Amino acid sequence: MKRRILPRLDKQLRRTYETAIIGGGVHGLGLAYNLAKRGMKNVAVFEKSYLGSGASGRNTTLIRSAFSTPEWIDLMQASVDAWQTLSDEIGFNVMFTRRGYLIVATSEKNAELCRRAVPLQNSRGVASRLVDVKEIKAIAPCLDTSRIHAGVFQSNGGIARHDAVVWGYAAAADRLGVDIFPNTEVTAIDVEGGQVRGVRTTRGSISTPRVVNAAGGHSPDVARLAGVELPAKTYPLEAFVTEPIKPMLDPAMICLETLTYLNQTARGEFVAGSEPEQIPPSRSIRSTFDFLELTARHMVQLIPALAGASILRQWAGLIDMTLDLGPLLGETDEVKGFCLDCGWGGYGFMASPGAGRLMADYIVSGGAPAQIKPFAPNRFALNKQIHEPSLVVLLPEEKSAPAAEKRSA
Amino acid sequence: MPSSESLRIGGDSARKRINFLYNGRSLSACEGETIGAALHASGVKVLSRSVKYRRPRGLFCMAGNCPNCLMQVDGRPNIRACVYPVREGAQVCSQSGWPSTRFDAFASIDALGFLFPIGFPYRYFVHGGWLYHKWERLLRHMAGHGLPRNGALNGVSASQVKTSAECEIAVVGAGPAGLAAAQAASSAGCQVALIDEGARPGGSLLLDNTAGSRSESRNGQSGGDLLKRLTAAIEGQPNLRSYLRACAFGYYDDGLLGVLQENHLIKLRSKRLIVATGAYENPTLAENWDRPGVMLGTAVQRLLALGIKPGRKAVVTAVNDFGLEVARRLIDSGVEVIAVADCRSESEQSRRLAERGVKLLMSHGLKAVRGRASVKAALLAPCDQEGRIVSSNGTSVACDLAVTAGALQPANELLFQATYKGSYVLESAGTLARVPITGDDMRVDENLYAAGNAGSIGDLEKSLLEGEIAGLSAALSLKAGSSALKERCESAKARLSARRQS
Amino acid sequence: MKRRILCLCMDVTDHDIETAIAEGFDQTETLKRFTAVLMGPCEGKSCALNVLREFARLTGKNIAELRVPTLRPPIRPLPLAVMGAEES
Repeated sequence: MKRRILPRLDKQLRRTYETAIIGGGVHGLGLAYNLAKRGMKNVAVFEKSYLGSGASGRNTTLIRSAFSTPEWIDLMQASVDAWQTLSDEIGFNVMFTRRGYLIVATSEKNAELCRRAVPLQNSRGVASRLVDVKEIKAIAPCLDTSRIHAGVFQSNGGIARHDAVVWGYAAAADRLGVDIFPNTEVTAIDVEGGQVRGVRTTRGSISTPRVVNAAGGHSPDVARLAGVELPAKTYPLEAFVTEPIKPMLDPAMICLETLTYLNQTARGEFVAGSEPEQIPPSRSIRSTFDFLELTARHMVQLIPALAGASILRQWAGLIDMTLDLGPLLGETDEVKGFCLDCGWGGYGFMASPGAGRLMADYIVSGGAPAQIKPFAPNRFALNKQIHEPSLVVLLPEEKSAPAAEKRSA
Repeated sequence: MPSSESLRIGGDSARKRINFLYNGRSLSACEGETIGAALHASGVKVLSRSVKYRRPRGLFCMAGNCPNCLMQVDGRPNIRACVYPVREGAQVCSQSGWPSTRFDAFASIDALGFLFPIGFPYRYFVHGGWLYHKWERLLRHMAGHGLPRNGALNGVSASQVKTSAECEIAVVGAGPAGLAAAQAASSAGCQVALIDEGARPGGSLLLDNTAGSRSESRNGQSGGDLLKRLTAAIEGQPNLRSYLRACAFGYYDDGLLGVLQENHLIKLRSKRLIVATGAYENPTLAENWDRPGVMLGTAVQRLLALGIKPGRKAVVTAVNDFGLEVARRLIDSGVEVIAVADCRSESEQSRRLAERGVKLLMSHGLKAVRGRASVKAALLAPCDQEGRIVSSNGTSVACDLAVTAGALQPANELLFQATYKGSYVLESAGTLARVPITGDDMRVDENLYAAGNAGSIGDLEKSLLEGEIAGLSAALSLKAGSSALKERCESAKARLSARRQS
Repeated sequence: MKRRILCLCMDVTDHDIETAIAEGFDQTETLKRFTAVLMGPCEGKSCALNVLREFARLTGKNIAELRVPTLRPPIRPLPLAVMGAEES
């Protein structure tokens, strides 16, 4: 038989690794693959459940780089570039589909944000354009445009198959010699004199000078194992899927006001989510009734014909969200050798191919690439938060914070 | 056998007629029928095409539990036609297949399946994103099940479609266990809500009201009598409210039960939840078991309960007495039962079938089904005790209906939405069931009780006792009951425990 | 033996389960994600048991020890119009 899609992951734990990555999702596996590609082959990935069991396999798979601050645009553009050729690169079809990404604004304030953002996006290489109501109607005829003021359309954004990204990265990393250990929980991180020394897992202990926290929603807990308190908390994020229906909506899309994001998969199902005004931090992934009502209302507002469609299944995942909703990228000041690739909130999936490349460059060369520098973990201490207003996320607790209006996609 | 003869028992003229449109063609139904049943009675066999291999699919479960009868009804896609009531003037369209469901131009893909092994898209189109883009476009147009029409359900969003309600004890399922629980809880003075998907309370009792597979322990009482007694006991109870044609679709935090009653959503908050949702019948696998004309035993029961013959010449395969019971009911209803295959050895019940002219094949099961758009014959072959076919030498029996009466499995989704406490057990005839860990008071978790087949598969007496215990103990956990009530609860517990030991 | 359909919603056959296991999807969770069993319109009501039995047979695992994927709400499909309506 041909090569298996998911490799046999039954290697023996070595005593020493150059880098140990915690979290077998798109970030952990993507980073491992990129490290190995850059010549660092002695890498281990630990995942406490099956690969992709966290937010990697639970998100709504939207991909864009049309943001409104230079920092976010540059970071995500690195990813959008990587998405275009990811299948080719790792030899596995991740089903990235360039159906485009549509952002709609139903208030004048957000329409103005779109108008201001597009020139900035274009100047930094984003394939986006400002679209008026007529054009929005042409891109997505099913939308009720009566309340839409304007929008942004990014032609090379879209969606991908989340599980395929996990499997593709896992197989590619495995071929390059990375040791991947699913169903292996990290129980302790050994730190001596402010320097990472090793990791203890349910499969045994290893020594390593470098640990990368790519644990997604569990990253604050993992950081605590190294004695580091992250400026991030764990929140549940929900989504649902409708029964399959004939293709109605080509692009992936978000609505800035209702904090709603949706896309229609190749199978015809609508995958959608909508953010409530506030969610308290929690590790519960129980589905809620309120979420169904909220998202259903917003979806029907956007696409009236969906009134007659039905919700098939709902689920939840955990995300780790920082105070400015931006990721935490780089080594911590507190513990040398403890690196972060977390805090992605609802934007981890779309960022993964770019983050894998940039973080690997960072780890191999020691110098932070320009795209990740602004997202250094110590930016809060230095009061250098980044306020990106086009995030579809509500700021968790400090609703009064000036720019951060919203929370995920 | 004249195929023009009506499948409606007693002929077509007996009941009030309803006219509806199916793919633009005018058909008639009888009052009380579902769309699926009416289509079946009108001779429509292929209801859909399967999603990948475009295989013809027909009426199979009659319970809304499979995808075979998904149809567009009055502009709403994916309606389960088998359980959706037929209404005057309804516009029903099949959803899948091109140019039509009956004749699908892509049906040859079924024979070319080897070209498209599972997961093939991950391996194909790796290089050159544009190729995948084109493929996806094609796939998107092949996929999906109908398109919601603008304005379908328009009236719904405007007027009263959502209400909140409260009760002390919510009982989900109005079968024997649920009725017993609701009766017990309301007689103890609790505010009770009883929720059931059916148009009438009764659950499985409605299906076998002549005698029935679960009748042995009924002490000579017929299913109909029992149903009358149970429904009479809850009728007119001022502290009991019934929600019929209603589905409790989810159990959320803070005791919130989501209930969908047709197009009405009820947010029901209760202090205790009793799950008595009964069981599903598990399909028996065979080559081409998914052909139109193959039906579950419970589907046969449901069609017969609507006064419709599921077919004209039947073959029945059984893994337990339920299958033999289905065969008997088919004969009683005027369906010619040619053969019965039972994976077990001969019994009193199977001999009785033989006396009525049925060809009996003991230690036999269904190996394959012949026919494409409809069943032409069933191939019966020797099997082991669990129904696995062990020999390729079979007997081919011409028929237009193949009934695969399978084992029951608990319908326990709601139960396990509400709790994590349960363990998997392998029950008789290979049924895997996740069984909740219940105390002798049928309590599963803090506010959660399970009763009847939803907890674990058993006979009618077990369901009735468990329902009574769950209802009484839930009530007693909320208020100090009279000593008579406590005695009744203890006595029921003692009887159940005695049954378990025997 | 000819292939048999196991999952009516997604047309998954016994051969497909075998292929999926050979491709490395040897846990129920990953099998579900790879083959889409239990994720069609019936949400596993008509296929779950048969899929698990076939999976257990092919992997030699004890069916009672399989990790069965979480049962997710809603049990029946919910019309968006009804879910999204304002409460009266």
